[in-house]
Amino acid sequence: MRLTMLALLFFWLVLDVIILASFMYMPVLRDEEAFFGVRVSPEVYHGPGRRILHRYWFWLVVTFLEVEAIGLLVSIYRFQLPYARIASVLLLTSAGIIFYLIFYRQVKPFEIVDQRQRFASSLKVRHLGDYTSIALEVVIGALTVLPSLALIYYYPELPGRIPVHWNWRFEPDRWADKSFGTVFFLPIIAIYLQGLFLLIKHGLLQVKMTLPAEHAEEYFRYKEESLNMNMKLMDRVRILMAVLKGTLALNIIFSAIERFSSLRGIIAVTVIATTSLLLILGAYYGHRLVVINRNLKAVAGRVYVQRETDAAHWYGGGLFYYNREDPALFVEKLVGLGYTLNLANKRVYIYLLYLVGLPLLVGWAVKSL
Amino acid sequence: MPENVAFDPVERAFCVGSTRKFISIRVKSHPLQQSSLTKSLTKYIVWCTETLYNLLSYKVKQMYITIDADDRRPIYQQVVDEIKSLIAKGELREGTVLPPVRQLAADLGVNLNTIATAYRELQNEGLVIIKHGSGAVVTSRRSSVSGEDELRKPLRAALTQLVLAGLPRAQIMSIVADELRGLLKGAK
Repeated sequence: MRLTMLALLFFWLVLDVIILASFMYMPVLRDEEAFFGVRVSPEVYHGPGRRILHRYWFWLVVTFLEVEAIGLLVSIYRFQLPYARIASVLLLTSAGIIFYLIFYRQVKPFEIVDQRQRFASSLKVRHLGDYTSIALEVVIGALTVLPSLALIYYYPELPGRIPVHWNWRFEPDRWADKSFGTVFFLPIIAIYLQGLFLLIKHGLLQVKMTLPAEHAEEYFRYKEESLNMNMKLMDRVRILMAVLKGTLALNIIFSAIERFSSLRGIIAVTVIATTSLLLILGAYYGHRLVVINRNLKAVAGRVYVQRETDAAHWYGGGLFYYNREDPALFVEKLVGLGYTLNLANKRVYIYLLYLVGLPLLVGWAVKSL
Repeated sequence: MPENVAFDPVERAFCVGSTRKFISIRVKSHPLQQSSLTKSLTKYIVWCTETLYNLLSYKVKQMYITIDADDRRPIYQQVVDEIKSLIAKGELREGTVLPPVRQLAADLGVNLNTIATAYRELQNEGLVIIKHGSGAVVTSRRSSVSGEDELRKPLRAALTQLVLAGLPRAQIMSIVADELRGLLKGAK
């Protein structure tokens, strides 16, 4: 019990440290190009900008220490509420956003307008087919559907009470009455997630790719590399998710029916392997993005290329993009790595409606447990 | 041979997938076709190796268009001119599919209508055809604009600019020759 408790405390601490680090480095990830989402001169960035940044960091760290201290006390005196620590994540995130916005307002007066007015675009047509492997799609489809078929086949054999939650030693620690919801929850979530990742992949293909006119060719090469990497990442995440969710779905059969008990070891190995691979993949992807950004900076002198008219449509220090004139759906984040949505595009609602499905699904599952 | 592979006799190259990426694989003419069978076997082996090497190290050629916010021409006209120039240079070949309006508009940060107008303009000149489902396809390297006087007009305007800029006759001639050489290089 104590070990589980410590492991959980450590997990929440790591999560909080990641949130703290993200907020600390968000304003400086693109240096003076997007300092708190604002383009400033190098003199400002290294002069008054540093002082603003240090004040921002000070308040972030103080808040982090406070939240952690309170969280630790609550955890020590309230053993039975390990999940209460989720409050620290919410507190830290909201505090981070508030501080970010406060200090963004201090940086805003130093904003300068990018004078460069020549932009290029590649005439290469971006097709989903170019980034799709049929064999991989078939494997992902099979891995998503087969566990559900196995569950349907063994459904009559499953006992009245089936395991729905496992501890870190892969022993069932919560049970529920057999019903459609409890048995098929995992495969349905798996199909839902596959759909979500496909939607994201499709959206990423239409990402805005403005090139600087001076170094269009080299710049495009790195942007293409970045796009290829994103597409591959989506594929790899999809296949790992299919394996992970498929395995977890089979775990119901293996834990509930005695003659399959020998297969339980495979589940543990697969879950540990896929989870570690997902983490490694995430870290590798982040590292590659940083390298590509460094190369872009070396080639074109800047990483973020956008027209002046588009630059005026970032809100909240580069956190949100709302531009009715821009037909793009996905745009690269002004602060941070990866992509964000152009909230003025009507097709955003497809994504938002799909995302609403997640809490609905979880709500339905919790109700049936 | 897949349908999107074509042999270009001028370039002596296979053009693969002209719709998405232009891959030219240069193939020298077969030595045995040129001369008698007495040609040495070594030449044949060299040809085979070279062809294999060229096939393996194929070149993907990318094309770009540039727009300038400070330019007095409207953006749609800049897009038209850039695409026309690529067609004239022979870089955008017949059958090449231009990017969808949405993609180009997003990349350049302009309204959808701007690119749609540009494509329509190119269609009116008979350079591209807009097909439902497959987008705008380059159909011809000959603009339908005819009549010498009409063709002379833009040239006269451009030359007037050069004269007004105070350039000497020799320099104007050299600029014209330079531009023409660039355009005709790919056109042959």
